[in-house]
Amino acid sequence: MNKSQTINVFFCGTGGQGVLTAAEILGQAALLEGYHVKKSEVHGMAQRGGSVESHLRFGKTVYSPLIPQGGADFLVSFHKDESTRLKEILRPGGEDLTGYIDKGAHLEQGAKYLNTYLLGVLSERLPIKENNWLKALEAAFKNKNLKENIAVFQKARKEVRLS
Amino acid sequence: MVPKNAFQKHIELEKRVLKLKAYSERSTLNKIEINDKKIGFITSGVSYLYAREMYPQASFLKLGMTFPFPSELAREFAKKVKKIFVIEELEPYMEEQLLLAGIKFKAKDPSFRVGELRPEDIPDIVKGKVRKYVPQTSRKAVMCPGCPHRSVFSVLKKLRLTVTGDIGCYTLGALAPMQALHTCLCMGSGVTFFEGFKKVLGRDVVGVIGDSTFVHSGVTGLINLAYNQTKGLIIILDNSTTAMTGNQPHPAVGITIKGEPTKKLILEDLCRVCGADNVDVIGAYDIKALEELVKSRVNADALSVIIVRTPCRLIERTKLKPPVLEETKCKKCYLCLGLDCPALRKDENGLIKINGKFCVGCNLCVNSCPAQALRKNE
Repeated sequence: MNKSQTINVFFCGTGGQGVLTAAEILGQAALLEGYHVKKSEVHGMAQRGGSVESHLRFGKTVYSPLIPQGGADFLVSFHKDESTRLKEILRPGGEDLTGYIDKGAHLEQGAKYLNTYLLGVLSERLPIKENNWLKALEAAFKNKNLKENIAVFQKARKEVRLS
Repeated sequence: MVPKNAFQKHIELEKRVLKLKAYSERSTLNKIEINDKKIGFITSGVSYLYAREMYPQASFLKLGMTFPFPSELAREFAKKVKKIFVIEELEPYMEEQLLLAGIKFKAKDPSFRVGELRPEDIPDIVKGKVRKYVPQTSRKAVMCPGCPHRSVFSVLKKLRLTVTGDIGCYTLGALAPMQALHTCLCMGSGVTFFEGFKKVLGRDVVGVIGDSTFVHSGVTGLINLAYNQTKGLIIILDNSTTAMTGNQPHPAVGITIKGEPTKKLILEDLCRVCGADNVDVIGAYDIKALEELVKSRVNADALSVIIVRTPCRLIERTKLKPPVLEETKCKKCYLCLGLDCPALRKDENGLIKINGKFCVGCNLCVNSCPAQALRKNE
């Protein structure tokens, strides 16, 4: 991937899983890396277990805040049902990271770190430097278990590199 | 404004619209971008971004100010491009403005007047296609385990009451298998619909409304009930928060939006001064007492309010032990599943299973079980 093309990451899950936080962190990291970034959220009844999706696009110049159907490079899902429902958003050859949900669900730090785990998995696939990821994580979690979040993030990165 | 001034002011208003029209024609908020002259889009806002995404090489008239419509600017644009498409969500406002100005364009199919636009719709609009409608299935929203609303609805359902509802988590009481809430229009309608339903049906009607919704717009309805001498029962489902939108406080919580203590509105006092003859406060989990109270009030010759006060499960997180299930006693009637509790399910052998992670020990299911297969875990 080069810096001139737009990279489209589609996040989905249910209310409370940290979907929007994950998209926010990627957006922040991409901004720090110098990209033009657009983010858009779709949520309905998220407080009662409804679905949450976030479209995160970055590149040289991004127009639409929504990823066109069949245009996502990555599907980062927090819930298998949501992947089944929404996977049409992936472009042919796009990567579905749904398989990582199970790995992220059994972290010693607890299931609530799934978002940071999936970000770690995603981070190894994106042209964003590690220090920008860490700055973005710090901004999001400065008062909320930053150490644990960074540990989970690095663990995911390491697992991807070794696999 | 008094009528004499209103006439004069209206003339001034019309003059102002003409001035604004002149401004709209020359404003930098409205701009022409000429690229490929085969296709020209007239569009604004996020619709522009979608069109630009899908047709980066096209020409655009991008409007930042759509009223008054800059029809002369549109005419100038129309001379420069071969075909014009209008990209706008829902109603064809800009299309109508072009029709009025006599500017030719290709209209979108009326199917695009419904629903939000997405970038992938733009090529279909250009090709004159009908909107592709993709029905999206989704998981059903459900009340939390131990939700106090579930208790109340289990009672209202048992008593076969017609329930006029309102907007909040408790609207979920309308969904199967509960189906114990029968109307929902707008905030406050749980009370005002009650008045109409009561007049028509005569009996066995109850209006329900949440605490924050009651403060927001149920009070006027209650005043009208008293004023119109309507008798019957309104239940305020007081979970002491605004749960559906994320636990915001409200005047009857006594905490400001910044989290600081403030004057607390006392709902029972408020209901009395509005004209309620009876005001009772009761907890949600004592469903036998609640049932008796509802029975005694619903068709009585008085205006009654029952405030069912039990905090939302998102605030009160204490858990009690899950009930004990004696499978041999279970008659598989599945009345417990009618409560629509996420902690209860039927397994592949038709046996009831309790999910100990979800269960908070409200014991509502214990109460629903006629075979006493479910027992409180003391």
